[in-house]
Amino acid sequence: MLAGGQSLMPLLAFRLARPTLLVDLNRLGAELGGVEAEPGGALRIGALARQRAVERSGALSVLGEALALVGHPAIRNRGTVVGSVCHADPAAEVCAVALALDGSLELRSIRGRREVAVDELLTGPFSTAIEPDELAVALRLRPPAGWRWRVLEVARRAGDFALAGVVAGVDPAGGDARLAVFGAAPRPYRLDGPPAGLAERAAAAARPSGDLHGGVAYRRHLVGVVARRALAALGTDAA
Amino acid sequence: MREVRLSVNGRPVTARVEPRTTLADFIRERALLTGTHLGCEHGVCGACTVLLDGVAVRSCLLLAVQAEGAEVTTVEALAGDAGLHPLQDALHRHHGLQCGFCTSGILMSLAELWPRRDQVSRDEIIDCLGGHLCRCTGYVGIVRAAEDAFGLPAGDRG
Repeated sequence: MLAGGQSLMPLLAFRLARPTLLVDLNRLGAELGGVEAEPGGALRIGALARQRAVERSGALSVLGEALALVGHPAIRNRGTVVGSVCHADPAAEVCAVALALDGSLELRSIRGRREVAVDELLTGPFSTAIEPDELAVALRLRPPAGWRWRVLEVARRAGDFALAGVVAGVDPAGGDARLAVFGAAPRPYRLDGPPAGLAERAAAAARPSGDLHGGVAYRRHLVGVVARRALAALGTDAA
Repeated sequence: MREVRLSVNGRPVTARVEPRTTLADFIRERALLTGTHLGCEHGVCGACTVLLDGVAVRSCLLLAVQAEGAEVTTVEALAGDAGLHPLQDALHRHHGLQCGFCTSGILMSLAELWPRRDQVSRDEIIDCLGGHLCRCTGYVGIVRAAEDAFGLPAGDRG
C-alpha cells in the first residue's frame, strides 16, 4: 500500500521490499484525507492526511510538536501520520505519540472492520498486527483532558532518527505523569505513574541496540536525560 | 507500460513509461529537463526536490504515474526573460553554491515558501534548508542568501 511513500519508496529503491503488487491510495484523498474531532475528545486522522497538514492544522499540539521532528518539510509534505504508525519504525515519533494518547488503528478488509490498540498493533521493529488483507484507514487518538505534553529527542542532526526520544505528559490536576519512549527499544514503550523516579524507570526499561551513532549504554543514558528534561519542562520536580 | 500525462512548467508532457519510473526520471528522461538532479535516490539528499501542484516534494520518492494530471515545477521555471529569480540571484551573490549539484533542489524548497515570502521566518528557512545536503559551501552562504532574498536580517551565525 502506497500512501505518502516516504518510507516505502526508499525500501523499493534499495530492493529491500519487492512487492508483486503495489496499490496507490493517493486518489482517495476525499475519502481518506480527513482529520476530525470526534465526540468524547478523540481525534480521527485519515490514512491520507499528510504530516505537514496535520502539523500545521493545530488539531493537537503534542502531535504537531512531534511531527516537526519528523524528517524535513518536503518529506512531511508527502508523508502521512497513519503511514508512520503502519511502518512501525522503533524511532518514529508518531508511534510514540499514538502510544501515549491511547491510540488505535482502524483497519478494514473484505472481512469487515476492526480497531486495534496501538499497544497491541506494534509487535516489533517494522512489524505490526495488520493482516495482509487489511487496509489502515484511520488513526484515532484519545488525549486525556487537561494534560500538558512535551516531545523531546536527541538526534545527530535535525531530521535524523532520534538516538532516544520521549513523549512526556503530566496531569496538572492529579499530578500523574506518562512517558512514551522511542528509539530505545524494538518498539516504543510507555510508563505511567508519579513523576518522581519515572525517568529512571524509563532508562531501566530501555533495550536499545548500539551502532556507530551511539552505544547501548549511551543510548540508555539518553533516555533518562530526555525524560528528566521533558518532565522538568512540564514543571514537575522529577529532576 | 502506462501512459502518463502531466504538466511540467506549464508545458503538457505525455509519455509511456513503466509504472516503476520515478517522477525524477520522468522529468529528466521524458521531459528532457536535467536541472532536477538525482543524488541519493532515496529521499535523503534533497537534490531532486520539485514542486508538485506548488508543494515541495522529493521527485525520487514519487512514481511518475502518481503525478498524472499534476502541475510539476522544476528549477528551469525560475529564471525568466528578466534574468535570474531573486532566489537564484541571492545564491549567486552570497556564494551559496560551488559545484551547484544540490542547488536546484534547494531553490525549489525555497521556491515553495516564495509565494508567502512576507511571512517566512528564519527558523522556517533553517528547517527548510535542513532537508538538503551540500558538501561544498558549509551552508553559511546558502543561509545568508535565503535571509537576503526573504528580506530577513542576517543571523548571527550560519
